[in-house]
Amino acid sequence: MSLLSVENVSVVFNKGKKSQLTALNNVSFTLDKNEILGIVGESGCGKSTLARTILQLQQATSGKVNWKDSNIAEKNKKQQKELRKQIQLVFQDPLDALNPRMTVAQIIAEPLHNLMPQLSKKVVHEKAVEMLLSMGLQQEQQNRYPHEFSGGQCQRIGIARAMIVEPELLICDEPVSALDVSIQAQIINLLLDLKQQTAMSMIFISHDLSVVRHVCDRVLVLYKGEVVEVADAETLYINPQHPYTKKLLNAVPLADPVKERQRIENG
Amino acid sequence: MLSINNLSVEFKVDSASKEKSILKAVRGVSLSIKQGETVAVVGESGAGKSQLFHALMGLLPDNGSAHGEVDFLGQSLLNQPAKVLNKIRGKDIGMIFQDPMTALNPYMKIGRQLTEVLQVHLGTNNKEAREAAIEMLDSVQIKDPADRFNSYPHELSGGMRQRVVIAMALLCKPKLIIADEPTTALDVTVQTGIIRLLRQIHKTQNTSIVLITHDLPLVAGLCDHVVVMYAGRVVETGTLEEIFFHAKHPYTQALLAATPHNDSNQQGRMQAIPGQPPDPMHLPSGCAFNPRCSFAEDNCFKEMPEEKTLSHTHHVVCHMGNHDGSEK
Repeated sequence: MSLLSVENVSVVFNKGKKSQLTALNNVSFTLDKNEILGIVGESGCGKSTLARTILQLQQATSGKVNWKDSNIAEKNKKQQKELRKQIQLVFQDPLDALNPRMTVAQIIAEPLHNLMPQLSKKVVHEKAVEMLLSMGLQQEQQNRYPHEFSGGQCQRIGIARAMIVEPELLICDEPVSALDVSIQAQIINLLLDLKQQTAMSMIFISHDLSVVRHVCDRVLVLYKGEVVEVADAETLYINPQHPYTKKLLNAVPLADPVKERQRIENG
Repeated sequence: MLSINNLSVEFKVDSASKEKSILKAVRGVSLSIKQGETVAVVGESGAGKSQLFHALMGLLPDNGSAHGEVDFLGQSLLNQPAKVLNKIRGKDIGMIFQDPMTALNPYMKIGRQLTEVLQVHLGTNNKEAREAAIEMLDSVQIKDPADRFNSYPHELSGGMRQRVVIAMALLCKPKLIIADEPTTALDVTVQTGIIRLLRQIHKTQNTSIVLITHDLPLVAGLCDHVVVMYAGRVVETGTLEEIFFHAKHPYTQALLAATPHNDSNQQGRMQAIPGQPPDPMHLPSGCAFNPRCSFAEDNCFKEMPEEKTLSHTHHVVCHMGNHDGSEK
């Protein structure tokens, strides 16, 4: 049994009265426990729509999303809430995703207030501080506000908020594209450590193929709302099959001056 | 052509106490750019790389001030009135900004925005300006330039808009182009096209280009010289090969190691630089990189290192200038 299976999902937006926009067209894939699946593609290819559909923030026009073999669209409100505990999201812009009027401890504890209201105030606070520490932040920082932190630290806070309910699936929508190179590596390492410790699965959405190569076990390539290729990360990078995958891989700038010059001159 | 001597940029910022405190974004930077050179200025956010060039273009906000000397083709640039700068900005020095949507006026058709440049700087008449603008759109590889001339910015994709911004910067055939993160907001597939375009402009018109970025692979494709900045100072300069293959400053080495290389066997953990970039209000004493440096010694915490010359192009500001890098 796979943890998540997406079956023939299409999402169509109405654009005015006559025209329609097909954001996702017949997308199917599965995700296993403790697996990291990368989703890559250009802006507008439907990456984020796919994430939103899995999270039930966007209704699929047709097809279904199964979580542990039951269709998530058919769940009742209580079950939906339970699902929120199991699937969490990390956003692209770390500062934008945090409420500027809440302290860090409040932000991290918020999912517990909503999803596990039975917990006492004290337990909630303890859990939040524990999470803060495990993300590499200091206990003294718990009463500070988001604007007092750098981008990388804000992303750590965002990850702490997602991890506090111990999700089984973490969806990361471009988690490092707003960060500096040196900080990017820190966040990637943090996510990989968390995956090891908690045996959770991850969907890693990114346009940066060299980062995806570092992180993912399998990679799915989206092009104009359709899946054009799914393969093991190494296989995809060494032996891409679809012309679009080849084009995408060829567009990755290389950190080697000699090879990069050749790429720029020849392409 | 352009020489910057001991340039500092300061901002007055609100602080807890009543007096405004001073934030030093750029601390004594000197560099020179020759005709036809392509120079990359590399560093993390907050390293002062953008502020350096905003200062010399007179684009600092009201609370900012710049000190030092900047000489462009024999003319002093720094702290000149807008009247003087307006003759240079857009004419001899073209700027390409990071976000093409905010760099273009959303209420004006792109054609009007392009011809305006020519009319203001060269006094070209309407008809000729239109022809020149369409020709320029064509040369930055925009399809159907005559149709696009009448488009508004929102009708174009991100890559197209950036091409329009580049076209605008090129119209007066500037001697120097300052490109501040020109591809950061764009897709990978579009990035290469923009870099290729800049490279072609450099080759055919012998234009000098300054590329401000934090992305080392982009530098590898375009630039011949690299300036690495950290916490408002230049820490290492050298040719492309010197920086990529013989980097001496621990920060440069760490930055190269943290950059994903897209090679095989690149699974799993990455080489991160520990810690955060320093707070410019509370810089560490001595070398600003010392809290994150794995080679730091007593001396690094006490004294600011001097610049060491390794070759006539390669300079490094580090106490450990002679240690051999673990990388490469």
